[in-house]
Amino acid sequence: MIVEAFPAALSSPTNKGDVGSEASPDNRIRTTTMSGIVLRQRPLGERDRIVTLYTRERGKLAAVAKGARQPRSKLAAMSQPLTHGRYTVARGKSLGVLTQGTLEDPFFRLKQDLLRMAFATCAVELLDKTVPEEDAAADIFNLLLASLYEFQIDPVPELVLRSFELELLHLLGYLPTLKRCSRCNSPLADLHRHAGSYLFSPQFGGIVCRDCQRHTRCSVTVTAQTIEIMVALRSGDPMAVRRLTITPRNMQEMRRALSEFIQYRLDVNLKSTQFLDRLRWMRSHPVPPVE
Amino acid sequence: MLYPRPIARLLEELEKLPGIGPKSAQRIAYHILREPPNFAEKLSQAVVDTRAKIRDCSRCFSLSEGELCPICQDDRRDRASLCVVAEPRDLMAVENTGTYRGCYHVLQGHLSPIDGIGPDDLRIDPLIQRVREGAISEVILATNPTVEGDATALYIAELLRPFPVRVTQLAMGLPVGGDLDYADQVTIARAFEGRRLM
Ligand SMILES: [Zn+2]
Ligand SMILES: [Zn+2]
Repeated sequence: MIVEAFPAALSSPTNKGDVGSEASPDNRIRTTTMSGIVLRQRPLGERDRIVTLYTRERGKLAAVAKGARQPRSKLAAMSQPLTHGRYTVARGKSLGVLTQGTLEDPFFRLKQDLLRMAFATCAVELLDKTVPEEDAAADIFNLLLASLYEFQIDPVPELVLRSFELELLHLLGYLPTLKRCSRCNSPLADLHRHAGSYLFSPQFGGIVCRDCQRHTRCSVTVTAQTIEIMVALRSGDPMAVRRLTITPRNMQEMRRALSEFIQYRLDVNLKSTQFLDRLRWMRSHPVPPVE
Repeated sequence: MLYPRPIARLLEELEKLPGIGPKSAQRIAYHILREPPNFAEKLSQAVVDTRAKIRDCSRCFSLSEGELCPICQDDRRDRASLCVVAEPRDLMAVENTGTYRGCYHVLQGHLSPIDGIGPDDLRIDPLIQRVREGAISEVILATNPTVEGDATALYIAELLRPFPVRVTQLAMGLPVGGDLDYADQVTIARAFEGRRLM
């Protein structure tokens, strides 16, 4: 049931979330309970946190979690990044206040595995930096939630991140062109029979055919097989991906192509990828106990 | 209200302090004005002295007046045990329990990849160096029980794996004095992991 305490809000075309009213002296506090995922948090003052949530009902929003840094606070666990729960937010004049929450999934196993957590953090940062405030998109919420489960269990978390990037780009209306030339629109037929490589151009928005290659300035070389993997990732069929052999070279090409595309098209520089690179480097260069 | 210039300047500086808003800044400023003049002198001298004389301990990176902090200088402390904390105030919290007799290492923060805070922004290399020198048998990771704290502990534990040291993490348990059924599931799950034989 939906109850509005704000008379002005009655005229709003959509009522999102369970909206209730809370007794308050000026009768202006309105609370909403939403399904949300914590994207990030930062400390506020001595005891509080500001959490950025991505909610199914209202999209991205920030709220103050009062007392959340005190160990006994019920909001302490709720305000941790990569946590899914039901969040009740009271909306004041400025920033909302997180009044209560119930945990749905703390993604405990994800947080016990540094590499998986690093991949999930890249996804969360990309989302945080590309979606506008308070712009509800249930598709994006569902994508994030499903991806967090995948990051937790998938044998290749890097592919989960690539798949997340492609799907998010699609939902934001920036999907790279993979089956046609992004400049002249001619179809790139029979990719799998083609042994050669193509150029992936962030500038034109995807793959470019041989004739158009000379027009692109900055681009990433990708093999036909890498394009095929990206197409399979987009198909939504996990078996289509599992059937393919994916080499480290394919992984690297996808990583480069998508990261340059995201930088160029969305003007986003991710900080989390530095840590991911560092972690990878560390695992290939263990510290010797004696110098 | 327009304040005389010196007060306005004081308020401006006070409001830069953590947790001090315009109201608290005003209260502090009025208090300073009501006290005898030597209060203001002592206060400002204390601020200047602290800033000038306090630096990082060259061994554990806690706050120190000299090259080494009192704990690093104390021969009665167990040099084979290192407790790793994020901030000097965490060190004080462990110290205040009076139960730990080893030494410390202050990281000066937690890892936070999303904020661009990586291993090089923390005092992790000097920690590895201290372990490499060989006199340490146990490293106790006492970072915050948060996502950032856990990431930091996992990262350091992985770096220390090649070394012949025991690496432990503080047990995460139920808050003392609380009812079990009020605890959240993360706390209970972690308390289960850290259960002990009786
Ligand atoms: Zn073309
Ligand atoms: Zn010291």
